[in-house]
Amino acid sequence: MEKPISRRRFLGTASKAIATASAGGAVAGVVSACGGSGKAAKPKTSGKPKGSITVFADANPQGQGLQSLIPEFQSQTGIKVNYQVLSELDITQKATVALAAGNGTVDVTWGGLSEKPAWVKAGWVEPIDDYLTARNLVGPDLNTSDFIPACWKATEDGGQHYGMPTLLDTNLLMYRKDILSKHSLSSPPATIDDLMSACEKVNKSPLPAIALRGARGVHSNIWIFNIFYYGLGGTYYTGQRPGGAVPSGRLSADMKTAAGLKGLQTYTDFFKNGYTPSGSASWDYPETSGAFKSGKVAMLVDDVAFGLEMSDALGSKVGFALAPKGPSGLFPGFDTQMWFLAKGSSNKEAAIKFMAWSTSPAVQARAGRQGKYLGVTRQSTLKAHSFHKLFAPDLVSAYTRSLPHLDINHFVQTPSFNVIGDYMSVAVNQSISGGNPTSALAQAQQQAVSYLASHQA
Amino acid sequence: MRTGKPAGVAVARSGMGVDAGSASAPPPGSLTPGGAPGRRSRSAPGSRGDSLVYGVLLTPYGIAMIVLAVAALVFGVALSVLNIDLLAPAPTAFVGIDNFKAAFSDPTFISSLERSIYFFIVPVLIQVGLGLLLALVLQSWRRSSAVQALLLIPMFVPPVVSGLFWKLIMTPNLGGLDALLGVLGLPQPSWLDRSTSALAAVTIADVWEWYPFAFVVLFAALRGLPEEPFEAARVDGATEWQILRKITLPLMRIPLTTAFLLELVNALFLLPLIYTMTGGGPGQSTEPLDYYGFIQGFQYFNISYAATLLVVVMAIVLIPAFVLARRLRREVVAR
Repeated sequence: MEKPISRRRFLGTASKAIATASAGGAVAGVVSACGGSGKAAKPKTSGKPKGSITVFADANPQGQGLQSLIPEFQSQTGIKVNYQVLSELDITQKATVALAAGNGTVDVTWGGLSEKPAWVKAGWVEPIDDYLTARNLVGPDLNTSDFIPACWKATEDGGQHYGMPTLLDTNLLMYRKDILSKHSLSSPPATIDDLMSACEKVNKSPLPAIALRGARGVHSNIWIFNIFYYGLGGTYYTGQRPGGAVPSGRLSADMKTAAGLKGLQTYTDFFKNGYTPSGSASWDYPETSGAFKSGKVAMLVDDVAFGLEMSDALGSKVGFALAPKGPSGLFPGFDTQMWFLAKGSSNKEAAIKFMAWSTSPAVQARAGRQGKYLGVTRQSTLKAHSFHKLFAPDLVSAYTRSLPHLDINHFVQTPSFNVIGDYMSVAVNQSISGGNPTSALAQAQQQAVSYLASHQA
Repeated sequence: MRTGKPAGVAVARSGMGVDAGSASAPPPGSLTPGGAPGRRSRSAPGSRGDSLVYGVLLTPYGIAMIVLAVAALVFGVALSVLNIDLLAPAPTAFVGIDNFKAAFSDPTFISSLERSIYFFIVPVLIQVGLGLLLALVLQSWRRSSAVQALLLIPMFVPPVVSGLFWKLIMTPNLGGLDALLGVLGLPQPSWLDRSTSALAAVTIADVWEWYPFAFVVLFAALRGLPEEPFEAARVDGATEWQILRKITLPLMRIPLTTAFLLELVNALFLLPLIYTMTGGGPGQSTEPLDYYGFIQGFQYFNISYAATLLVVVMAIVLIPAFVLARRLRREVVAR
């Protein structure tokens, strides 16, 4: 039986004393903010924002590429930026706690499509539409239609935009041309079946065939696994088409299906058949990309962000192609990483100014060159010869051919996916580590059913 | 077998490193707190006046301990009886023991609990056993100081670094452990890719990290044991094995209890090791309760449920720790 108590009373008696301890203080802030939601009032802009802002940036090529340009922004605007570059796992945890606390710890934070539904639903981030008309903040030539359409659409929720897209992530097949041609494979595998056959042919002659992510986590194995899972017809929720949106209303889990099992078994087969390097079931992207870059595997399905690194390391030996498609279609993966405006920010105008500046075509091009990544979110930047000439032509070609296949539901756009996806990631990790795919999937399904039952009550 | 000097008996007997001799009166002619040579202080050491001074001096520390330890504990328990879930925001409400009930019907909780109990028993037993063995071997070796220093190194390595170090060692074709096993004709398991071998891998790393703690405690205690019972036993023709069983181990009861107690507390610091080595995997096969609590709190943002799990972890550690501490106190008082 639940006995409501006022949040104020609870905090008054317990949290105040305990918040003096640093850890306790953080959680107390979270407690005080939880449950807060609602629309933001129309902002009033003062004209010349000053002061300082705190930005949480991901330690990805974009976050690092932008870092060296921050002093320029500071000298142009007089706004001091406390730019913190954090690993993906750290930033997700730190940003969630800071946003939930709502006390201005962070003004602008990196986030992706897997964070957006929960952050928006909780009311921790603010819609930016009203600020976009304030030309003194966003600049005279802000043109949101220049964003790659999928990226701009990805920032939307309930008809409002919650972020400025900073980086487009999708996956490609990267392969060693010399090894494939040695085995008479004139073109890279295009389908999941082709990929399995190619692995069989090239495996251990002389290298393990392929590196795939095995480590647990929505941003780890699920990011790659979903290419195969959706491609073979798997879904997470009842009524969802593979890789598509969830129906409105009450959700139920739908992972334990024949198609879902086929997806898990196929992904497992790459590991079980010994096509992946020994010990790689616990690998995440540093290990998979590192193995390919150092010439220890013949193929890699992973993020386009690594494209230029691979070209630099392997020269003309490396080729790029679309991620493999399955009978249900091509699901290369899609994540738009974006800047979110924290609802608790005490300097929102400065925050918006920073968001607009850092996603402008000129800054994107320079950050892209610094960070060596192709996944810019501005069409004009991508099309500019001065920018895309930095990358191998087949890398640019495979990337641009992926764009029409991007769907924002690679990480399903519902708050429960962070948890349901993690259950699936445990099942994947268990299955590729010698576990039984059927029972691993059944366990994930059971956990998902129980989670949805308690969280939709 | 042993070379201990009687002078250290008090250290060993207290089991806590407190020399009873230190509480004796100052020698004649020394400066007393009153400042006059040879004059007895108004408040002699151990007197009520001294106790008052000690009490006053220790009060700020005591208050800080209470605030940091007890208040945090109370806050954790308070969170566990509320319904704070950041992904399902709802008005904060008191839910009593509902979170505990939910935990005991959660299969992942049960399997994580089993793993926690494993980590509180198996590595702790090995650490104390290994610490004792090394202490017995080295205390009879006169020139062992360099080896002692080497043996202590793992204890000073931060658990995150040690986790990465062991992960590298156990990565096939990289760390060299599989090559070494191959040369010796032993099987080369893919350590971190299989449930049983991953659990063994984490156990090995945990034992490596914390056995020096038991070693230090037991080595110091062994050095402080009295000579007489050992000499008498040898005169009576006892074998080394009989001496170990009938004299050394019974005399080491208090230090052994202390070592178990400290290693039990160290078993709480396993999270960084697991985080860096296995991430709780494969599947959830190396995921103890505190790691599951971490996932619930910082990945699923179910704050109250995470607090519930951590309250259970605290209970698991506090109960045996309390029993051991009571036993330790009884033994010290009895002596």
